[in-house]
Amino acid sequence: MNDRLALGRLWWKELRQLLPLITLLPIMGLLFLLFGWLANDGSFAQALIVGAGMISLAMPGLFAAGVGALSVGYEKEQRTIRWLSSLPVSPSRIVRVKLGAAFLGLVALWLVAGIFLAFSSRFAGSVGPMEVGWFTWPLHTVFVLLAGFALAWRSRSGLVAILLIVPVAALPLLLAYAVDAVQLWRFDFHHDPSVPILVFSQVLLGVLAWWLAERWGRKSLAAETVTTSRFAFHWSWRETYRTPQRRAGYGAVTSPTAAMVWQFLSQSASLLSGIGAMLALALALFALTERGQVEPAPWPVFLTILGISWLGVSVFQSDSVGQRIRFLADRGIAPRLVWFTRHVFPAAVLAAFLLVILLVRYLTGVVAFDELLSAADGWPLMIAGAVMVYVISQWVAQLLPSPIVSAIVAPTTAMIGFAYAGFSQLQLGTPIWLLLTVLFIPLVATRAMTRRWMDRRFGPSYWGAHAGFLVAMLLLPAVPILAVMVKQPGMPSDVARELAAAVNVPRYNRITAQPLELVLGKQEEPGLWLDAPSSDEDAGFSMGGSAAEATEPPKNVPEPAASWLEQWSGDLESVRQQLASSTGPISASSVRVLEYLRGIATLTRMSLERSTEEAKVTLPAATIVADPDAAARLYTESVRLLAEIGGRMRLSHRLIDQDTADLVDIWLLAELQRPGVRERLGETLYRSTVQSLADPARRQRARERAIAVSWAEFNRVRDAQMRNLPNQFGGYDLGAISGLEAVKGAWLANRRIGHAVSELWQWARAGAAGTTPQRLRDVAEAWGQSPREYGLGEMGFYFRADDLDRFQHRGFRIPSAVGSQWFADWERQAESLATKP
Amino acid sequence: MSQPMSEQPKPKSGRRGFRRFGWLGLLALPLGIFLLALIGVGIREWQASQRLENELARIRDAGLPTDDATMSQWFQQATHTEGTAAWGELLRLAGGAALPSAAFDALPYIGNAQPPTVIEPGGAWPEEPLVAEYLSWMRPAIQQLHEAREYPTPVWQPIEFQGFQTLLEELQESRSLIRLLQVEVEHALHHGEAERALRGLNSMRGVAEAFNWDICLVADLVHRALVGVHQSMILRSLACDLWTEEQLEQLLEQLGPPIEADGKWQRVFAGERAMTASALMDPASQLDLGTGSPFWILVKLPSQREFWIRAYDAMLTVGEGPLDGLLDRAQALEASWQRNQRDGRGSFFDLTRFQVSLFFPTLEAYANAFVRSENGRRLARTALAIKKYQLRNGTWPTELQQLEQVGLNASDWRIVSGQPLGYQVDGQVAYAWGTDWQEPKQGTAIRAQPPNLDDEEDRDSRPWALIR
Repeated sequence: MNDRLALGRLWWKELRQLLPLITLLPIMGLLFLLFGWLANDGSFAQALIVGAGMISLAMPGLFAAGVGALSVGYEKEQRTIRWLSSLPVSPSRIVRVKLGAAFLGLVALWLVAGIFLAFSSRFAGSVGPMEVGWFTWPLHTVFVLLAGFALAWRSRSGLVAILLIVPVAALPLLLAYAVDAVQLWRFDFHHDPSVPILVFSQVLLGVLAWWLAERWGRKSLAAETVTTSRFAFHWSWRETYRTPQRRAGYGAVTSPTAAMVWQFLSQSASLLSGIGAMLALALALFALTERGQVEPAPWPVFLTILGISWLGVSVFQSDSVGQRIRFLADRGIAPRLVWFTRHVFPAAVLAAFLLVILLVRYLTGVVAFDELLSAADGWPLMIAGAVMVYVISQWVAQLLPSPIVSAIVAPTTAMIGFAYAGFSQLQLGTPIWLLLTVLFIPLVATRAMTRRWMDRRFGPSYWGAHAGFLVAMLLLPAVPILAVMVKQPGMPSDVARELAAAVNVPRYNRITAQPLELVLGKQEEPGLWLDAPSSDEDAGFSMGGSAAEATEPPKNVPEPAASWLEQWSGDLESVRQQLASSTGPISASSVRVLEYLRGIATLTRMSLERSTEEAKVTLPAATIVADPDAAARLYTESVRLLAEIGGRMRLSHRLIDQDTADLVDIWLLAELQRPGVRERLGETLYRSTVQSLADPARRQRARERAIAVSWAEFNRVRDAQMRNLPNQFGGYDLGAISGLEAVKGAWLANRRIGHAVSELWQWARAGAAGTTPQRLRDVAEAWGQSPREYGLGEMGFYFRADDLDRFQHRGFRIPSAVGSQWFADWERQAESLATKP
Repeated sequence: MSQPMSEQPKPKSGRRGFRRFGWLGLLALPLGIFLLALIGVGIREWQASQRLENELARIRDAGLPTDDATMSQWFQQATHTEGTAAWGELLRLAGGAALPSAAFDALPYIGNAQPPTVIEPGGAWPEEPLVAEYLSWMRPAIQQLHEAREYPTPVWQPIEFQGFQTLLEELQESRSLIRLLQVEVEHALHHGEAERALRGLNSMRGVAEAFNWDICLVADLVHRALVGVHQSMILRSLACDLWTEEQLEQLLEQLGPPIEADGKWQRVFAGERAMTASALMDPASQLDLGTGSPFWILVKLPSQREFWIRAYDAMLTVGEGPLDGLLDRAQALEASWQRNQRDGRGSFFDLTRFQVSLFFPTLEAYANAFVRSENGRRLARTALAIKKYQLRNGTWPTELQQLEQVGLNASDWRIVSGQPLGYQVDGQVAYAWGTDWQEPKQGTAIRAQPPNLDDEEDRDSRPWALIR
């Protein structure tokens, strides 16, 4: 064979061999992303932030850890290594081609990770966890890859090589600690080793691993030689055990079950010993942590997850090595017996591990024996987590024919299982009992498919059946939310049509301008409108009153305001100027200005109500008495401005502005009903304000338009955010008003919002005549509010402006309940006031 | 050479069973124990669920709240609605809504201006004209505050109870009322207007009583703060040599009786327990636990909920007993929660309790507030009595025991832990002082020397009165 052609074929074979791992890892990363997206209520940016670290760091790391075992272990499993060595290619070249192909795969995955990071930085503003060294981690993956190859060449089984890579991967870090300790004479594992030392350790051990990989690789591919070790031990008990008298199944041990358990143990001894060591180390770390001798760290948890996952993998994979299972299948061993005998030992190890975990606190003297269950309240969750890792891993092990790919994929799949469980809890609200039930599905799946797995019948029906179990596992947690969704009414189609049509109805005169937020202290020139008020006619809004007597501001601008009077007048002038700057709607976020105006109006009115003479009698000489003339001017202007702002809020398409306008109107109505106010305001201002309050048709149009446009805007934002639930509806914070935090998932929330909006729309259309206690109750329930906010119940009259003497006007802060003042009796009272002469 | 199969030795019958099933027996042991433990966990959860239901029923039967609805009723029963509208209007008036931003630097208490360390009647006060103007505009509100004193207290306000998310805006805004009155009293004292100052102080007490909502810890802490401000203004007024003996009597009356620690504590923690129960029903929205926290799932378990609710039983018992031991009892309970936490680092197995204890109220701080409040009351009473003694006898008492002549009990001039308050005569003035604010265990020690008024740190380290 042509040397070049042979090499080319070899390269092609190696790359094809690695293809499953190279494609599987990005797919797993995307699955993480998918669940991240779902768990974050459809926020793609958040999902990217969560997934960036996972994909960019774990993907190349997992590849580096598994590629050696896959590339070399696979040859040993398939017994093609002899065929390889028989090729007219030197062993060194074969070793280098394998390493080269692995490096290419690693580079490809780092490229994918880099593209992903760049993508996430562009769209989500995050490049993953920066604390992980961007240089040391890639370097570490190179070391792990080389070490993985060395171990794979050296080990008989790929699974054992993967097992060994776990402690070996920590060597550079341990060496760096050791160098640091000797160099600095500091024996402290709480500080990370210095970066140059770490890099030095990685390079040094990387070169060593490369040398070993080459050496052991060449040796493995060389002609077979039989060597005997001078240090070989002879296990007498093992020899005894292998005598015909003691051999399981033939001799004294006659139970097929016991024989098969023994056979399983025999063929998985190395793997199980490694897993046992990992779990024992995890237990030791847990115990040391409990005793306070070691700082809590993620290592015991990591070891536990990995150990339990590989325990699950061991269930079926020891039979897959070299297709040993055919031996049992050919002899007609019952699948249930195989399934049971493969599970019994790993399950017993898992049970023992979890029991010892429980006992750790007692054994370490932290709690008494009788307090064990009550003190370890995290134990049930730990059981659920461990069982989930185990059952998912055993499923993966049956699904994937390659033990090595299973060993790499199973822990990651278990993590995806965790992510899905979290998603179910957070987004679907799955009850705990149902999640625990779902845990049995992988066990049922492997039990049901054991016969086909034994017969190696991996046809479409095999994969279809597994896919069916997977779908069941994914759908079952969603059953409760689906049931709720069926019960949760959404928006009726006729209401949806009406709302869609309403947005374009000319009479609603949709204002697209963003409502203006008024602020205090925006005045550029302190105006003295008290002396020289200016016109507001240019603002297109005329309420009459004192402002109609406007003149230009005085040329002599006074010093910065010293007295309250001047400061108040300056601030009122500032508000007037802001209102004059546009003719559009005013936002409810102008609450500070509204409160300021209300404060001035109330204080000045109260000051006017207590006559100057009375004040002089009551107060000692040292106390300044408020100037009544100034008070009268301030009162009139502040009321006029409030009325103008209330009117301009009605132009807004946002619901919150309409509801705030209601509060302004209610305050104005109460103010106008006070004795003497009509005289103080003057007939023009009083009459125009009353007329404005007593205009139900305008208010009705404004409310209907606000519902329709708020709904259209809500849908627009939702569509723009890839159907992610917007935070607001018509300016209202959805989380705060409708209890949507308690609703699991965006889909249900959308239906609930749709229902709430349709209730509101139907109420608005029904008007005052259709405002019944039942409707109020329905609206309150739909918006997740207390019925009291809508005037129902014992203390309801404090919350809804039916009786203005008892209603508690809590100012113009953001209203807490949507439409809570709609069609309350204040509207009728306003109309009644307008009819008075 | 191997033997034929038929010639294999038969095992002894006694060991046959073990050989046949020994493997499985050994493996079944951990599985069996594990299953038993699982069943144990299940039974434990079921029992906890039953106990929790019984416990909540017991609490309801005792007339105490267990959720938002009962909390609302409980609050209503403990308050009065006669003054609701008047106090509501006052809250909106004094809320600083109409305060021009430029005036902020001129006003003490309300704004950034620092009041003088000691009031010097008629002394220099550059911002006084602006303060006077402010008070002239606020005069109707102040008048209304005086009038609101006649309504029965505490006063009900519309509150929508939502567990831990309950907004207590009215309560928070009550601080603005007392600040307004502080300015009023300060101004009156500056001008030597004893009656106006006395009325202002009386209304300050009225604000504290109107918002004496012992429905939860925050509410009571605000009340304690309002009471503390009232006490501190009384102490401050004594520097003016203004009061007559009759006025001093009125001030003593304003200070009220000692705190009913037991009942107060019980009510506060009964309210806290109801808020917790409400939060447990809906942990997702009421507890900020972080997405994906296992704690979020675990608080759904009946045993966790029971632990949480039962923890309040222990909190309630802390209030039982003398005020003197309150702090120790609170500290002991908090320490018991953290016993196994080892410097707060937690355990791998205590996934919830460590975190749950983070949501528990800070008992020690609250107990400190209790003790501090009572110590403040005693200091104010002692300072008033010293002045009364001086008015009656023309000289300062040489020691605090002499205050028994003006009607003070021995317990009045001692702090809760039993030590006598600080007292010293310095020429024409006398000093009385209490325990340090910064002391880890407040209310246990009194410094020998009065505070150095020129040293800001020393001056602000404890409550004191300069009595002229």
